Amino acid sequence: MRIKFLMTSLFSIGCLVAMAQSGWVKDKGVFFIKADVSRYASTDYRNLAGNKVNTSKFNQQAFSIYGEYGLAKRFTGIINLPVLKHQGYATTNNVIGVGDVRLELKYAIQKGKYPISVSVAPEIPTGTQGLKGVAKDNSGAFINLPTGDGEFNVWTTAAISHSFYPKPFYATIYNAFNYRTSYKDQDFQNQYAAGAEFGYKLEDKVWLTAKYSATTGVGTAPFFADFIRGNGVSFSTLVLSSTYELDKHWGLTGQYSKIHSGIVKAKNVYAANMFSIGLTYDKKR
Amino acid sequence: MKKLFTIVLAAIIFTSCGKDETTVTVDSSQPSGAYTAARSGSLMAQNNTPTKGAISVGRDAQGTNFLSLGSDFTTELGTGTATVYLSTSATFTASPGTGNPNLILVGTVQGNGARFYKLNAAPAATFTHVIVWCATANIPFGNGRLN
Repeated sequence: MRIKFLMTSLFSIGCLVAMAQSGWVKDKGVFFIKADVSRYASTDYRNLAGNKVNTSKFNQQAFSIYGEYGLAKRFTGIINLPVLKHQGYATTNNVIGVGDVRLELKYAIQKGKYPISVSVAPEIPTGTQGLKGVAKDNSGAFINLPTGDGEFNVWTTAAISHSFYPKPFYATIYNAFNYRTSYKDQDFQNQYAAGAEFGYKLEDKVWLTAKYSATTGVGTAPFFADFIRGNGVSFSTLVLSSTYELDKHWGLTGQYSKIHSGIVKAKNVYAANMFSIGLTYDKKR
Repeated sequence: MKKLFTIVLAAIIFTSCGKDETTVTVDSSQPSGAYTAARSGSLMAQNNTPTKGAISVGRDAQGTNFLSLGSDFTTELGTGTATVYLSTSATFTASPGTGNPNLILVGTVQGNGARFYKLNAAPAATFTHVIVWCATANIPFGNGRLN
């Protein structure tokens, strides 16, 4: 009984946060949904060598829906749907399209005090291709701005978590590998990612989480690649988020992410501060 | 009848000859015969980009003018196409209101390596530099003086 209590303690104390990269799975029939809008703007491009190149401002806004559903005792289905992405440079037109859908099946290898999960998440290239940002002062100059990378890839993730119940505190560490394929004549470099997340519940109403992760390329780096498809990309990310429980089911969430050179050097990516706000709904047992 | 026979015979001969013809496509954007550089130099990187490579302006055997980027040409390609300009100085000085008298737009770059750009005429001696400019990033990636 004690063990079972520990197993589910994270959710018992009210978990209105997304738990994709954690050891926990949802109980059958339980689900979590989040809809959010995010934005970042940056002039700090880090090229393939990791050098800082100050460019005109690139901005991206996105509206996304994320969901987790308990399919069975040990299986959770997860979907991440970037419904709309709107992006462009200050020097170009903006483009709009849908992003790449990510589906994930998560399996609980071990439940209990230290839950362990593995998941497989194919990312379907549903993103809009053929979008271009054309320079306002030179119609012959442009950048391809697809809202998806155009390639099929599969993330495989292993995670372990621990709840410090009755203290309102949890911790998770994870490792992930992204097997990437190709788009037209461009072969994508595989990726490895690792991270740790800590969560704390404040005054029985507010979840505060901090996460640090690093993503880096594995194998031969591309000789050249535009940044928007994320080929040859590496970066470190700090994520701070907060979720306020409006009632038993509904919550408001806000998140700050910082993409930077940390544990791994930022390459082929905009170092940026990203902000998002959203609404969550948690269907408990 | 003899006249009709002659016409039919001629048609058969010409049709047969047509089958033996081969089509030669001449790419007028590339030099024909030997290319001779009149002025040359090399690119220096700007804004932390990996820009480098030999540059020159010159003529081919037919007297057509070209700007050439060498086989060692490399630039930043992460932020879209780069554009090659001839310039009267090392600084990109756009003045669209007056017709950009200090710049000649030569062409765009979407990859590294050697390439030729056909020019309408030999550039005036006042155009002393080649500039690689990224219009989307709104910064120069590199420049080089033509000597």
